[in-house]
Amino acid sequence: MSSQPSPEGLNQLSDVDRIVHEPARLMILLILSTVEEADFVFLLNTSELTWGNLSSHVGKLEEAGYVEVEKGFVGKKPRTLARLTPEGRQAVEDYRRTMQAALGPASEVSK
Amino acid sequence: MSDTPTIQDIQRRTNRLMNYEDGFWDLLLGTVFMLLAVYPITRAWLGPIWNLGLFIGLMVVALAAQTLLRRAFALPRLGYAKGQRSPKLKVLLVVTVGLVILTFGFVLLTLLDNGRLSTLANSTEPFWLRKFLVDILVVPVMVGIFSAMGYLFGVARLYLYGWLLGLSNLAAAIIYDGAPEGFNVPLGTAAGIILAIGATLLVRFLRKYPVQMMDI
Repeated sequence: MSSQPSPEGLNQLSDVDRIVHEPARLMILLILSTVEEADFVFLLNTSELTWGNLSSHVGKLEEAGYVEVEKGFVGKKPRTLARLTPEGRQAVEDYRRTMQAALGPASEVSK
Repeated sequence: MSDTPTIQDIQRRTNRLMNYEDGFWDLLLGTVFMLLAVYPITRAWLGPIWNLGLFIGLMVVALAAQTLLRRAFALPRLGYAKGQRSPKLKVLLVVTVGLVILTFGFVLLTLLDNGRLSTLANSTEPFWLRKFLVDILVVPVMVGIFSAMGYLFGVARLYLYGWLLGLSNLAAAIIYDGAPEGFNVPLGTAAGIILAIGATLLVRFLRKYPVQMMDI
């Protein structure tokens, strides 16, 4: 018997951060939450997004202040590093709490 | 993204990509245990002290080679990521390194043992238990360590490595009736299997991940 999500929890869904809520951006945030910093090649390989998608989503996260992007060089080769900001970490944590409150312990849909 | 991953899946995948995707870790592990398999031969030539020095020196060389080769071949393809320095991960790293050192210590101990360790067992225990007590204990220790690593990092082959290395050590103790005097065939076989897996993973990695020339 699966437990039902609470009405109060479901109401919180309207407050969910839509910057975080997008699957590709959520994936990027979760990857960055596991590491201190990562370059775009690593993000590309871990997220399995295309370059264009990755660039676009990281750009939106940077605009929102959740990700910090640092462009530099390794020898003569350019390297772009990304890392979560404290606001980004908080946003991920808030999102996790919101979804947990909304969905409760149920992970299956009742038949 | 075909299946919906959980947060744990993403974290494990990230850790796996950082450390276990390219096969270099397996090649290092296989090399170390192959050195252990060859240990009795070089001990006969060099004596115990010089042999231990050679073994430690070669391990350092193997570790340095693995680091340099990863930097040259894996990083340009996989990208760079710096692991988190959270207290939890630091503890995990210290425990993992400690357990790995303990594992090597156990295996070295059994290689150097001349039957003295069997006296640790109670004299009322069966003869086979007294004789192979340490080697029997190495099996669950190895299986435990590698299984824990396999679970934490989501790397299935680590479960196999634990059994391979633990059982090969026990097999060697039974076959050679104590410390071997020539090439340690069971341990060498296990090391060879791990090296073959590492080489296969490396070839697959080089094909799957081309060098990334782009950057944003």
